[in-house]
Amino acid sequence: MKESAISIKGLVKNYGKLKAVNNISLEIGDGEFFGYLGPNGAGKTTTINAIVGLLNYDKGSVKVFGNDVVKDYIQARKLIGFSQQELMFDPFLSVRDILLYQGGYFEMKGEELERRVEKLMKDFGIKKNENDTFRRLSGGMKRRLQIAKALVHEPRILILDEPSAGVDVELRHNLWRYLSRIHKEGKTILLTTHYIEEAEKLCERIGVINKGKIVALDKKEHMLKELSEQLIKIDLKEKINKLPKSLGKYKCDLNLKKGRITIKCKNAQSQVAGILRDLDKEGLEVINLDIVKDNLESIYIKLTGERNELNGL
Amino acid sequence: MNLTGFRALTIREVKRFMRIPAQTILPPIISSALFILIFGSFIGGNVGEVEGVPYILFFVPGLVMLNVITSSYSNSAFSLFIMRFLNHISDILTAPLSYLEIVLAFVIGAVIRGMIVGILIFAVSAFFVELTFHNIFLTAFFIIITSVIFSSIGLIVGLWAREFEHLELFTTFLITPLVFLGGVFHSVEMLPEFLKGITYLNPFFYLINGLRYSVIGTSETSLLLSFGFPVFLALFFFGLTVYLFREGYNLRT
Repeated sequence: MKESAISIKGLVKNYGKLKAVNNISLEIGDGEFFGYLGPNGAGKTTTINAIVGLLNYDKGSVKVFGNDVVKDYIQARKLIGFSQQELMFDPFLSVRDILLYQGGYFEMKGEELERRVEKLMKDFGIKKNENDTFRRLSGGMKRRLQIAKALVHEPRILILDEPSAGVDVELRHNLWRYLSRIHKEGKTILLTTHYIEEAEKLCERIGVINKGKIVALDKKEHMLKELSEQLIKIDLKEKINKLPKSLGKYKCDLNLKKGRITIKCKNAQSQVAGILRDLDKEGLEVINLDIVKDNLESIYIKLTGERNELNGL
Repeated sequence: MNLTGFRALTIREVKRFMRIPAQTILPPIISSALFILIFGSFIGGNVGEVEGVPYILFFVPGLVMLNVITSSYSNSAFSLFIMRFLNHISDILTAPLSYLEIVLAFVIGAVIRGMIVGILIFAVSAFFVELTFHNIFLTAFFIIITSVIFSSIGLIVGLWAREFEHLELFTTFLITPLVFLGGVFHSVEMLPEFLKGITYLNPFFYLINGLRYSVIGTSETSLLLSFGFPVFLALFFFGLTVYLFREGYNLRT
């Protein structure tokens, strides 16, 4: 991993008895696209608020390119562009002025700022609304403005808290293309999302937080490989009453009605040939074989138990 | 120092109240014009001189002080509370602005509003009485120092408040009674003995007396107190506000 863009060590935040964030440590490398997943109330926004300076945390340290977010908060904040989940803006200002003031707060001025604001308004398709106040914008346009605002000062780190919440499919895909492009140009991106597809498509590394603790943290491919289980589904020509002896070494289920054998394993491709050989030896003819892979969503549900919680409502 | 950011926030603060003059500038001017007309011209003619000057000239500085106080307080209290209420205060809390720069920008915005209101009330009074200043620099000093005190208090209340009603509580139950009792319309000499003693405990009395001295040249109490007390209050409340911002009181969770 390159130099740490964000370094969190032993972060603790309690709200009374609730441990919102319970001793988490996290390193995000320079230029990395990091996905931070977790159910509502898991501690995602609390962690992000600690990074951007909107949280008084109880214990631990948070650094942004080596700058402590409490002691060297001015240096740390210069490096971050933050798009919060809530879509709220200064009600007195037009779209254009919102971006100009934001640039001003981040020490930009004159033609450099004007050019940057023009470019962002064009890139995000909000130029035609430049003189409107935010109340006149649709949800999608507000989200565009929110992300453009985070990018005005060309920060090294972009933090996006649920950027796809409430936006239509077209905008979401446009946003993904834009984020992929600026990531390729070198920007570090920290993204929280409920769209697992988004994290699977964009992120290089994933952290999953649940009940204030990080329950998984790995490269996306490793996470998919290590945590995912695959199912090999085999349909036999003849119905059988009990599992073939040769499959005793595998974790198998037999559906008597369908005559289907289901085997759970981690590396399906490497085991399929051996399984077929074993079945052939016992004179069982295979008429169909299917391998079903886990995706990030099913891993996420396993790690957080989110589906069970929802079923309990 | 982030001068560009500080300048941007200060301009934002000034433009905020300039955009809505019917709410921020005109009401104190119109109500003051009515006070001057009725109390100064109609009633004041029967009162005669107070402290050696026409009554209208005696109470105009008090009237200016009353409106400078309420304008500077409202400006910062409402501006900050609306930012908190609508939750776009994170724009400045996540920007590379020091807490001193943030507080100073709010205070300067309120001082400018206080000065505009003060100058316009003096200008209105000039239609009714020959207006001369004993020391116009002192007049500016008292308007500025008062605005610093009450915009700082406004920021503290803006941090503390949970609803709009809380902002008005302070104006209704503290500022308005204390300013009126502090001698906007009357000389302390007009009061019975026991009320004189209480008036000397009222901090607003020293602010009104100081501004009045800068206009008419006579003081009802020690000038040292009229200068020193406001400076102490300004430093205290400004310092307290910066401290509360640094601690993140009702700003950070």
